[in-house]
Amino acid sequence: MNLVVFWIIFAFIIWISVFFGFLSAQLAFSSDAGSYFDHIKFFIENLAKGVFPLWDPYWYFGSPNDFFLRRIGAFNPFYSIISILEFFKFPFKIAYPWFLALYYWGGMIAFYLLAKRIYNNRLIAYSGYLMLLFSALGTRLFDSYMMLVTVPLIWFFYFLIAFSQTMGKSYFFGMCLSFMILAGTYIPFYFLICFFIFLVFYLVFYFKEIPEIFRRFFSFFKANKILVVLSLGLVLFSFVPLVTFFHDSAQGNIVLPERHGGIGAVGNTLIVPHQTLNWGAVEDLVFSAFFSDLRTYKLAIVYVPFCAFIILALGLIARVSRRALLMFLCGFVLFCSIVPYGLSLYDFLYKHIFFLKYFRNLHFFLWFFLIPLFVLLVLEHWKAFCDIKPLTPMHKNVILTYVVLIHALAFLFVWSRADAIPSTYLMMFLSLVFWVLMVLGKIKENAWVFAFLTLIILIQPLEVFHYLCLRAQHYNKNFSQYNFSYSTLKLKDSEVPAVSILPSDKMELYYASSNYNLVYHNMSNYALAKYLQYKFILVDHLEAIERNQVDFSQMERLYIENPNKAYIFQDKAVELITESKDPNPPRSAQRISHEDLNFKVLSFNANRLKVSVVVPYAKFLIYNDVYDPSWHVSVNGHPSHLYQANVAFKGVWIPAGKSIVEFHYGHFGQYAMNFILLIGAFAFLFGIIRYSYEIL
Amino acid sequence: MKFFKWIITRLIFTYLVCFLVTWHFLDYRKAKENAIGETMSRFVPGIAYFNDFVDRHDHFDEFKLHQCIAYHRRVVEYFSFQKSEAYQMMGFCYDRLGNLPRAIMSYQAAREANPVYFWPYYNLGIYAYKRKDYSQAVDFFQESLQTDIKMNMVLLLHSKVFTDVRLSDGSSYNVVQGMLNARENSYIFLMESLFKLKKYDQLFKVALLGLKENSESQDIFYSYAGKAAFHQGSYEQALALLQLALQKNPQNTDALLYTGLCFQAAGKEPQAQNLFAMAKQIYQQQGSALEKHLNSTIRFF
Repeated sequence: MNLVVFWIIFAFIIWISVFFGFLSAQLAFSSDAGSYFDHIKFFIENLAKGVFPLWDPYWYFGSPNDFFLRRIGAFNPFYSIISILEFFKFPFKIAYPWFLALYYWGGMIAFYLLAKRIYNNRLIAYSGYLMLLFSALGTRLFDSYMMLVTVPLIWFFYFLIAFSQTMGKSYFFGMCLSFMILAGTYIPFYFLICFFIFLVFYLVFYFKEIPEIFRRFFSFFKANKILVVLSLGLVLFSFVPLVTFFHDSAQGNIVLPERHGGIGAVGNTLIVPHQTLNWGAVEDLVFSAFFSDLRTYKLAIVYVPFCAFIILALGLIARVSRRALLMFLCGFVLFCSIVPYGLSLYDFLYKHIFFLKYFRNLHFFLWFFLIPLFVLLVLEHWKAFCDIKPLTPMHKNVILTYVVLIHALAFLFVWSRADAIPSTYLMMFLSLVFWVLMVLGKIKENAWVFAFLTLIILIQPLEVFHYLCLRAQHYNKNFSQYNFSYSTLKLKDSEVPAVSILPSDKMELYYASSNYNLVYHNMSNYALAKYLQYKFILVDHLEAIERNQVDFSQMERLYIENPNKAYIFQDKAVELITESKDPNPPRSAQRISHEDLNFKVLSFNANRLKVSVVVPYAKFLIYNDVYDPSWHVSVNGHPSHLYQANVAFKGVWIPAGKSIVEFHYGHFGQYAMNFILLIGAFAFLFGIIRYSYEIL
Repeated sequence: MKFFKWIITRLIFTYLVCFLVTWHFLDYRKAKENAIGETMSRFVPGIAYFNDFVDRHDHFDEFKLHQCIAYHRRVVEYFSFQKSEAYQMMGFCYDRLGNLPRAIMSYQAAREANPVYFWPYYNLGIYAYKRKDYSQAVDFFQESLQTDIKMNMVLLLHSKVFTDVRLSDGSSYNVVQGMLNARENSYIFLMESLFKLKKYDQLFKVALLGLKENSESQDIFYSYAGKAAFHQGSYEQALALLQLALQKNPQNTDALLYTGLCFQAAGKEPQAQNLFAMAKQIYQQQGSALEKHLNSTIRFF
């Protein structure tokens, strides 16, 4: 046991040293990882203040935050690692990559435990751990968010299999927690599809075992009725935020223009048209194959240490087993289902299964599920090859010849491509020695064998990742700095001093409130930038306009010239007040600056703003944060009507004298639900720790 | 029967069956079209870099060269109509990486893909010249000069492989002038190789032919023609040609040297010594006019 623990830690230390540039914030995250860095920071830091941020006031002048909460998987108790590190004064830019590294390592340990459960062989399980730890999966920590799905997915399958074999509370809690984390993510369908395919093939190949497994499940249920009912209730409840998120997105309050490739709305905001699926699993693999010269290796390229393919080839002559078939067919069927061009299976599924319309990145299945499954299949081949027992010396010689032949073919293949890195040749030589010794029965579980195996598996990835880090972008102090100006970042990027810029000249927004997207697309950046310099404005006149007949040129003039009026939408449910009581209203609207003594921000967080305003006459206060139907306002403790002012923003009438105006987002139920689920997740984690002796 | 049973119970058999069944339902053309189109457009390396690089030898980025090789290898694989240009780029990258055998193989492949393409012959000629295989250099340079210059221009200006580089940001390289310079170099390498092989008769003809190209370095052509005439014993003709060379460029050290030799052969020793001293002085000060041409390395346009 100690031997394996030592090598598992040792391998992770090597992994850390390889990627230390990223972990020490010398090398920068790229692509989606930057965005996740920001959103997780926002989430963690709000949570640390006791605020569950359902609104992000910094994202394009305010957007519902549920989309990002779903993406990061808000009910993941492991985010507390970041808070702990920050508590010990590690800056977020250090705490976050270390959290990712530890989280990833956790997933790899789960993979080891899973492989150990399946093969009951420490050497095989350790090899799988190494192959996966040093696969391209780890590199995606620095440019994507794959780990937020892959890690709980591996844990889930580990707990599922462990629970089916040995009924233990830790496994049950583990299953619930990982399921809950996965259910709470942006698109849980990735996981649900993988799980469904696994269940179908499990039923096919292990049908006879099902009654026995159910009998064990039932006995566990009988012994832990309350616990099971509460836990399963919580797991089911964890789908509620997702359902409400999908429901809200169907209302059209949020838009994802970039995601839709600028082709416009297609019903539900999250639905993806077929034509944006050009980059599928096949494309990802073909693209990765282009990097056969591993000196050019970069992030997002599928890579598994080459020795895995040698093991796979060795096992080809082994006997078919149910387990091998189960693994292979799970992967194969899933792969065929995510090929949008060339195979009609995807089209059929797209037509008949509603949630396939939510997928844009089908190739994510490779990273979430297929790479770990591939490594598991490699281990299955290892086991199957080792199960070939030579009956005669002649038989043994045939197997030895086969081993040499496979290595010779691998060598010829690599050599013929003329772009192999030196470590590939060295790995092949070491692998040949290892497998010859294996056939000769000289490989036993001891420290030397673990060291040798570590060398064989790691020698190539170490060189590959060396090239990767050599080319990685260096950390820029401006990178992903979360602050107020972040919200205007895109606007500033494309800002031009001319009013004539056409909407089509603008970059598509990735995600924004539909109200903001409307003004962004129909007005110049100049007008927007000029208007949005001030967060609060006081006006005396309101002009009601029809929601569907906005004159944007008129609106643009208002944004630039700042007259003493605001446009609001005609709302039949409320009696409109359009004039203040000021007998001598100024010509221009009153923009409130920091120096204004009659205005004070009393409190502010993501979901709430409380201000004190003193005005001589009743005035209309515009808060230039995006309007959303879930926002409410109260003036001096009394609920008031919140107007949609100047197309996209919030406005409220305030009486003469001193007023306390409080804007708040959402309702009590939403916050209660999120906190209950968060506490539930921590309870499951506590349960796993409490009964962790079962795992150890 | 026993073997058959053994075979069908192997993992490889299962995989093959699955593969064949899928292949049956797969619209390979459709799958390939999308995959290659999408991946190749994402795979294009930072090609602008090469603009800056075509004539320089003082810097290179190994990573970019490897990327460029990888990309053009795929161009060869999937866009066969651009094979010769892609091989040409690969040859260039291998050369800069110091892998000469691979570079030569790439240029040979480029020549096979398009036998009327100038650059592979030119580059192979340079390699042959540098390894002092002058007779092979003669063959390659002769072949290069026989290619149709207009057709080559069309290829350079329209092939996607080159337009990606040409039209990349900050490009100021004149492709047409580059081609004309290389053609002039071809003549010079050819003449020098013939000179080294002592094929003066052929050298004389090539030099006269080269003069018709109206290149900037006419003095070199006159000089080679004069040198060939000198070695053939036609001292008067040699003197006349060498003087033409000196009219074009009074600093041409070869022409000065051979004019001196002509004077020496005519018994005018003091004049000859004078010219030798002048040639020596100029050579020490600014080197030979030929050097910049003969030090040329391989290029892609």
